[in-house]
Amino acid sequence: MTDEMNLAVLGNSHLAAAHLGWQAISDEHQEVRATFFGAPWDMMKDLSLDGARLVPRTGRLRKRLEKTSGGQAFVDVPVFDAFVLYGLQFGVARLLQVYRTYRPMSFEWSDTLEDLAPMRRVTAPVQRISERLFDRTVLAALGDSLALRLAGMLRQVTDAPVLVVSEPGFSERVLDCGDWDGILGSEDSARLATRFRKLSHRACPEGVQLLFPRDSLTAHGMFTNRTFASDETEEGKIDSTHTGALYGAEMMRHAISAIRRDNAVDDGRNGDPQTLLA
Amino acid sequence: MTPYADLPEYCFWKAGVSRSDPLTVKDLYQPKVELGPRDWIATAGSCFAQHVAGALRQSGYRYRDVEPGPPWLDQETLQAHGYGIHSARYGNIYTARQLLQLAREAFEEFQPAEVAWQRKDRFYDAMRPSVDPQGLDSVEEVSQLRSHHLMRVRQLFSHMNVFIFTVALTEAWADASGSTVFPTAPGVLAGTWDAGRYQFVDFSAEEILADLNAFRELVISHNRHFRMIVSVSPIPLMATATDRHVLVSDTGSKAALRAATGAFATAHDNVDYFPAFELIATPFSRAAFYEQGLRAVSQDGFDAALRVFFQAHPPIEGTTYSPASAQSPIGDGQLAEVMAE
Repeated sequence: MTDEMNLAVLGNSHLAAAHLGWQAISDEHQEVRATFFGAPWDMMKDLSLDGARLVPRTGRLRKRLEKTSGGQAFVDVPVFDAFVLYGLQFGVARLLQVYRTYRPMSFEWSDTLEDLAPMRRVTAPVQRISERLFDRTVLAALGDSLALRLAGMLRQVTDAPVLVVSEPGFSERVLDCGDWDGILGSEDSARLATRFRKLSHRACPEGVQLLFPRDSLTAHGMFTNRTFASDETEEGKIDSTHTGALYGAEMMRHAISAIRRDNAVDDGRNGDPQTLLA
Repeated sequence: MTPYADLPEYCFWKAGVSRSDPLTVKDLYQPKVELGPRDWIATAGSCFAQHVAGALRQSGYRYRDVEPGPPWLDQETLQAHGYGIHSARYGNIYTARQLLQLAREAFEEFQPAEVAWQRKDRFYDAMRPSVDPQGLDSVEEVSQLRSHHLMRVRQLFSHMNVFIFTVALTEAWADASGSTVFPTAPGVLAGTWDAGRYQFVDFSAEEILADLNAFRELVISHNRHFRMIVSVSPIPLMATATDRHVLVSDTGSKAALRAATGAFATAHDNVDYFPAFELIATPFSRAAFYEQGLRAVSQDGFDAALRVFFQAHPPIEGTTYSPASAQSPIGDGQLAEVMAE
């Protein structure tokens, strides 16, 4: 790869932080031309391969792609030197979706997560399952994420680097209400964070790099340090799900560095946290 | 005049069987246990109960599954781990004694003589060795997961309205004291065969009836809304542990099960007998509902049984029962566990 790099960054709503961050740091990487393709929620599920192009199957997605990329209605894969899949359901929240109903015995907390902000949706009672079945379930859940589905599509048509940037965890601010004390007190949060990293590597197809946030961006292993969380509010509530420009900038820096190094895997633990706020 | 003069046509072999077709037969089943849209229905046992579970869901009935599987897993993996087959992950329950044991254990009146069986370095729940096919890490994990399962079973038995149970076998293996009956022979899926530690049992009709009665009494003491539909599996024995010919053993076994379930249903207003066995395993069907080998029941056979069932218990208004789409999540493969070589 030459120093010049044409980078495609695909993501869901978390892409906004990456885009804002990129605007702040793009001067540091003038040789990189980044094109962002974003669509909220799971809208990217309507992206499919057509030859060497990722094309939207719905008009709704096409409009989102055009709007976020500056007019490109599809991803012309050969045009790009590398791909970043940002968020797209590949994150510790995916593990929490499994954990809130299915837990092995090694996870000590036995209550339901039905009252946990911001996950007040599911009221199914907790089912205890074996360690192996839990791992298998998490692998299936991660494998079904949009990030890995898109990574699989890209791998069919290109050998260019593909980097999956894991979705940020909930903001540390959610802990202030006390809802999560049970998970923290039982140390299940640490177990979940460890399990997530281990299983993420197993879920990831060969030749696809994974990028996790550096420790300094996180809190209690699976939450986003409140410094890097979004400042936005939605309907009077603080947005605990998304991150801000500072986080996005750091992840984009980190992503470009990982692609440049062309390492197989960067687990995010080797960086210098002192540089984050520089 | 004779006492038969005023009886309906279905009471006569010529009209009810010789001139009738198993695919369109009427009046084979006249239920006294009604099913309604507000009933919570649960299933256990073997083949028919498995098939009726899926069909009930599609027919608008409220089906209770207290241990649903992780939705991220594919159907094959879910089935291999005992999900979606019955109302809880108890695996196939082949004998009335096994059912009674489960209820007594759930209500803390019974402790199995053995909880964990080992195979190589993995551990299995001796009372349901098929539900974690790769085994568990330790005896402790087996025990903890079993406790959790029993809590769910207790909830199930306490809150269901109608329990559909298909009993399949009279032959089983028990510990040396006879206090605990296992669903499979030790050494088949896990555990180690030891003639000094285990014994063969072949339950009589009287013992089966006593077990069914004890089960009913126990559950009804926790759940006064409890009603039950029993049936006998038409799937023959894979092998017998007696020294009789397998056909002789199978006929004796089915006769005992049929006698016990019939007497059980006759004795209680809240218990019904569903004649899946009669439809599939008698001369009526001319063995047409068996696959090659005359053991596995074909999908047509199950569809015919379900047709009879839904003829008597029509789908809830706004839904329809379609045999082609009411495929069971699992075949009869697990029955093979019981008496496998």
